[in-house]
Amino acid sequence: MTQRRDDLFSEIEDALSIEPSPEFEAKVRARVIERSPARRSPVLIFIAGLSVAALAGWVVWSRPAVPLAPSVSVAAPALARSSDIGSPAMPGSVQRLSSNRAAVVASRTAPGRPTPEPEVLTNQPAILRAIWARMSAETPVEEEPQVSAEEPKLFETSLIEVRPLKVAPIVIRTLDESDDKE
Amino acid sequence: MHEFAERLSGAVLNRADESAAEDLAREFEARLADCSKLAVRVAYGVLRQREDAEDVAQEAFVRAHRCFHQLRDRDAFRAWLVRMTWRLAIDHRRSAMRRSAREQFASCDDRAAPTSEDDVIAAERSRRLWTAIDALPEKLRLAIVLASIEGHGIREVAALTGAPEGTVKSRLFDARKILQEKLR
Repeated sequence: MTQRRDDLFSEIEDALSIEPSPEFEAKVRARVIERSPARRSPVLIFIAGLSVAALAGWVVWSRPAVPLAPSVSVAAPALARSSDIGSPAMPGSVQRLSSNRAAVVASRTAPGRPTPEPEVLTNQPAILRAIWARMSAETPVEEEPQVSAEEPKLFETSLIEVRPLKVAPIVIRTLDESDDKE
Repeated sequence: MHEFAERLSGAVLNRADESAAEDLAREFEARLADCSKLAVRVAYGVLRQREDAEDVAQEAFVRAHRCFHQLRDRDAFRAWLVRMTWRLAIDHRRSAMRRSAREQFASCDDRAAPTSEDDVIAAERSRRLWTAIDALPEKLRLAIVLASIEGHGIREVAALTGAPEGTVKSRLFDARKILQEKLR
């Protein structure tokens, strides 16, 4: 058994008994020098960097335009069309839209492009004031007073007189009773 | 040699001075001379082609060179080199087997064709042996190949494979048993 094992091992050993060629070490050295980082061409590094930058730029510019503020679609809001932006009827707070938002809206309504769904900007107080102004044209809508950053001083505030309130007695009715009355 | 040392100084992040780089290059040269036979034989145990085995062994040395500052210990270097060479050889063989043109050559020995009757018998015996070794599970195959190189004992094989000695002993026993059955 032992002899058999030894035979087997010596057989495998013989089969594996090859020597590296004389130029083996020289080839390793050549490969090491060839693959060292200092060997990499600066032109190739520059081209690789340029292509990465171009790819990043393309990704950024090809991204679809996203509205900067959430918008709500309505059925037929004559006042809220984007063409009204900047018209005298709109109050100042709407006219003070940021240029980015105006550019987004203008790009959507540019000639040659299909007319998008009407949109309402979400500056709701200003839009409500504009609607009110159109319905009652003779009564101009006043701007909200600007809130001062300074706190009011104590001696300038007027005293508020509080009168006692009269409250009717509270009557609790059950649901059945109220239904009967109706 | 000087250029080789310069490349090595680049590999250690330009921190070492020139003398340290030369020391490192000298150490790598020593490892290269010491372990080239081991690497070639390990690769040959998988590939059975001298040129391919040398190519794979050279690639393993190049990779070892890249992280040589972590592998300065001789035993660590040998173990790392054996495992890397084995893995590269397995990958090389798989890719070679995908190419139908080389498939026939992958299974035959590249030594000189046998002339006499004894040579024919020996070649047939060798062919059967390698067929049996190829059929072994990978862990058993690595153990028996390493045990057949440079007279490695169980302890050396355990150090090279990173497995416990008991595991190596068991693997060698299983491998021998399977081979004896197939070669009977």
